[in-house]
Amino acid sequence: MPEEDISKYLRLDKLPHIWCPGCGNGIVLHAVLRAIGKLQLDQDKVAVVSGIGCSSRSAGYVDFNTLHTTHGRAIAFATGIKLARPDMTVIVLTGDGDCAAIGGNHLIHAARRNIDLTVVVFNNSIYGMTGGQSSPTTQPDDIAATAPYGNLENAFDLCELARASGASYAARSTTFHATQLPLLVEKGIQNKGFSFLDVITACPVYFGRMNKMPEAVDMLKYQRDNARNIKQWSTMTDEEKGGKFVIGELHNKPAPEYTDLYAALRARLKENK
Amino acid sequence: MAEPENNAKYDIEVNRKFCKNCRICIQFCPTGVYTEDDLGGPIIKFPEKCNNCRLCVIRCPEFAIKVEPKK
Repeated sequence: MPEEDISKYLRLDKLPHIWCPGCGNGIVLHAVLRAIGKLQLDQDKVAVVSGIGCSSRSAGYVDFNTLHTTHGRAIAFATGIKLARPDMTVIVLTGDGDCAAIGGNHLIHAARRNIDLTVVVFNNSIYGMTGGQSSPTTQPDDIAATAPYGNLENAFDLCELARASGASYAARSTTFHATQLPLLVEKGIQNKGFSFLDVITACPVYFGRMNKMPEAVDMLKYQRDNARNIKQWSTMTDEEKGGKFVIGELHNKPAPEYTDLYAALRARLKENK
Repeated sequence: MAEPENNAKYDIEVNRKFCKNCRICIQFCPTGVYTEDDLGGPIIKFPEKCNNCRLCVIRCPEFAIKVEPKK
């Protein structure tokens, strides 16, 4: 099974990257690059947009049209790119804090428009770059720098949020399931509409250290033991679902795409002139 | 890196400049190709066990591992 060589997509002079030992961001980025490689997209026709955070550093390491934007606004910038250049494949690489907290509104409104973006969320349940504060995806009772006695807040189910807001594709995977992940990313890129991918990734240095999983290996084992396939999930009782999460393709319902509608509107107005 | 005498079918290469000793390749290799050095870095101890499943390649967060058929 010869794999598509991804080194041509990397800015090798920028490596090794700044991420901590065992950080899952590299695994997610690897999967995204393999998906792009499999689809054989032209590097000049791909735009990678990122916001602020550990995960958003990834735009600096890949050799496409890349844009490192302001905090939470990656999807807003990406919307602009897609509307100006509908021929481009626009991929947003963002973190859970960047996407769901600071940029939460941009996320739901881009999903509502069903604009053709592929959003890959590096969901490590923590703000890693600023010292381990709790994020909107930190589960109840998890320890964080701002929740030393356990988190009191409920966590977002990001896939459910995207689906409810109108995204036409939503999927979840983990860095442990690195063979499944590029297949989902590939489907997301091929989907004409808003594609949302929630990737559970490891932050051993902040999340792991505070939650008794100080090694990357422990965090990957946690993902392995707690992820449940969508087929198995549907047969599970609520009691069994406690503490577990579902992975796989959770939602796929094609819907009219925003840039198509916009182009059609322009054509119609030109005719009527 | 010393090339051990063996009948390995695949060339495994770890880029030491990129590797940060996270132990993922060592712990999750299904056939036990790697062992650990003093700092937690991988030693390619049993390359003949490699069956080219490529899990270490895709799970390496540092883009450091290459597995290719032996020429």
